[in-house]
Amino acid sequence: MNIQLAEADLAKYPFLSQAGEQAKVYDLDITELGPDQYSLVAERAKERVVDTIRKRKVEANLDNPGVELLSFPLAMAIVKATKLEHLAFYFALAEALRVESLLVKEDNANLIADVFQNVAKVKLIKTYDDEKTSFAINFAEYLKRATQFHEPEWNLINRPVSNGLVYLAKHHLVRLIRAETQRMIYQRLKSLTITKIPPQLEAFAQEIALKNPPPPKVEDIISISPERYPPCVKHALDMLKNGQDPPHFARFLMTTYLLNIGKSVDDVITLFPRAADFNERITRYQVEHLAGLKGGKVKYSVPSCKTVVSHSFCFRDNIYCPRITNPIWYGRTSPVVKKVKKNA
Amino acid sequence: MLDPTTSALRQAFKEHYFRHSDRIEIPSRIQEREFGYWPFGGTMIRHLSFKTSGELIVAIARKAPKGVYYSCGYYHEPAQPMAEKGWKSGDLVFDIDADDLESSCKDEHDRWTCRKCQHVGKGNRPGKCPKCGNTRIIQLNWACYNCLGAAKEEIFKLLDILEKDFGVERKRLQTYFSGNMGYHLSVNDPEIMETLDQESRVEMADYIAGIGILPSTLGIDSHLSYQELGMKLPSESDSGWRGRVARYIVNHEFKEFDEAKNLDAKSKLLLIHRTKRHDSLKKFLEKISRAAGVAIDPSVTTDIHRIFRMPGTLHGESGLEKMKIENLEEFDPFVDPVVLKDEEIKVFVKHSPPFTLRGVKYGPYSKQEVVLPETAAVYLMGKGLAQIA
Ligand code: SF4
Ligand SMILES: [Zn+2]
Ligand SMILES: [Zn+2]
Repeated sequence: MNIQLAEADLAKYPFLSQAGEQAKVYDLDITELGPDQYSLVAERAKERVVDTIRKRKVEANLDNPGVELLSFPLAMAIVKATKLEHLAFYFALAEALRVESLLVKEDNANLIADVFQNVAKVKLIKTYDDEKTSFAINFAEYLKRATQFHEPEWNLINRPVSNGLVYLAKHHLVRLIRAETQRMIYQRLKSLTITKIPPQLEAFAQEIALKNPPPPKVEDIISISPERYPPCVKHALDMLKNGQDPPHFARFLMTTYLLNIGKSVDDVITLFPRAADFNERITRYQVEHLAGLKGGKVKYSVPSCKTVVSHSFCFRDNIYCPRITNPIWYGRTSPVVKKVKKNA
Repeated sequence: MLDPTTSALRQAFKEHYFRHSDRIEIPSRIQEREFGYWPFGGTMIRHLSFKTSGELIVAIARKAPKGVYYSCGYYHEPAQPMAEKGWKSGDLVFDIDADDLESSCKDEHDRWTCRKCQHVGKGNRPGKCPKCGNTRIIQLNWACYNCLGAAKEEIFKLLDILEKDFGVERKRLQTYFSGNMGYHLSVNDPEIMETLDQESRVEMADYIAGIGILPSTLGIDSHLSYQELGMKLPSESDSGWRGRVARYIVNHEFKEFDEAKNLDAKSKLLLIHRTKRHDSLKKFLEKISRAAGVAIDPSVTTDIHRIFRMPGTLHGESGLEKMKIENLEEFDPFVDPVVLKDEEIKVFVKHSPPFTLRGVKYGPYSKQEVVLPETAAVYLMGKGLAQIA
């Protein structure tokens, strides 16, 4: 999937250039570029970092393609030098948003296809069909990426699927590219090793690090009292209390929820009646495996509201439920006060 | 000590495994899988691993359990506790259970018994016993030709979707009789298995079950003119879900389409587009897609740590074999997987709907002693409906 890009395109999508070439740029200094050019590149690199912090998005600037291209790896070096994990995350996102805004305006379907194949490393077919189905990729590759999007149009059932391929419109592909770009930049930042960056930029990085300390971990701030549990989880708990037998899915929902808000395996197990016929009842083993893999390769997160709805176990209220897509967010947004008017 | 009935069951299984150990189908990549078994009169034992097929067969024949299972998942350390196993990838499997199909025969043969007052009722168990109010109720699910036939139909639908929509080659799709109430299907395509993580499997299961379809997917959009709608509505020859829905509404009766009887899918959809408001239209289309979809048990497909009954082993509730099916069309669930002996046993039957095994009709029985061949006696004892007399 090697592609030849013009400098103007590389400036837009700088991560497409060879990794080796980029490496040279990390310890770029004045001797190689000349002071004027160097300071332009350095300033733009700083701007990319500042944009990340202020706007969570880097604005594209194509006035000087060379500067735009070279400042990208330099900005990466600055981010790395701050040693801030969350800044790395936001930088990857901000750059990905820049890429997305450029691709939205891009008419050249071949270029879009190339960018996708380059960031995703997945074979893409151009169909030359109508615009809703201009591109197609293997369904498993699609699923791997699309399950992170929650709008129902991303559900496989709402995409044309035939003979192992999923068909996509340009805007789908662009959205996938954004996600892939973010992931890729973040990964590259993580694996980047830099011995030194120019002193002036090092000072800038230190200043950024001082001003933007890492936020507290989510695990540290979570503690939710039972009245604040979402209606679906409450319902499952009530069933257990009343000696009823919640369906398998409800047990899964409740267990993942409680584990995710920080309850221990033992806390959760005490909620279940003792009898254990293996197929239907969540035993210690099952709770442990839902908990034990948290954060591991296979993550049991709380099923989304959409999934809960599809299992007919949603008991939504009008206070917090309308604003959330996953029970885990219940009670953490501001409540809905006024009745929202729906257009029929 | 096992009670006489349980020990008779175990004895029957044991003899079978000793005589027919060759029937056990050894799974691929045996060293990477977790195994488990459920002994008669005991609780489930898991997290076992075996190095060779010989070891595995010997263990099965020795223990003669009422169920033998292996993981669909492949692990780095299959015998470790779940958190330390290290999931690599897993078989993609589907389960269709006659019990989920709500066939009309359910009321005829399904029964429930209140644990407290022993009251017996027909069909699915109520939330609590109408007689004494107790909530501890034992459900007896039964499968007859009719409901297993319905389950087979679902397998045909599943094969169709996997082949046409997902592009899986037929030779990579293997169907099994589950040994009791339904069918299993596994997809032996390494590329698919390796790529699909748990969330992808959830999404795929929803697709197959027909969950979550949007009106706009079927081209229905209130902003469109009549002509535009005509262009966007699906026709029967469309691929994927558009065509599936179109074919379903042409081939099935719905009172909603009465005014457009005998017309094509587009006309029918135009009709309901005109007569139904957005929410009820959405619900109605969802109802259609659920019906056109396959009644798979989603928890089986999406639980990547599931252990699954091993092909070639016996089901403890029936004595029938979980069996690989070569010709689905001709497969007879009350003949082909009947593998136990004909030796006669005298049992006391509490209750039994009529049933057929190897072409011989039995029952109905109610509180009576009967002499039955081992196959039929085990079938009833496994379900808790009969005891050694
Ligand atoms: S909207 Fe979400 S959180 Fe609220 S009850 Fe439904 S599933 Fe639970
Ligand atoms: Zn009772
Ligand atoms: Zn039936």
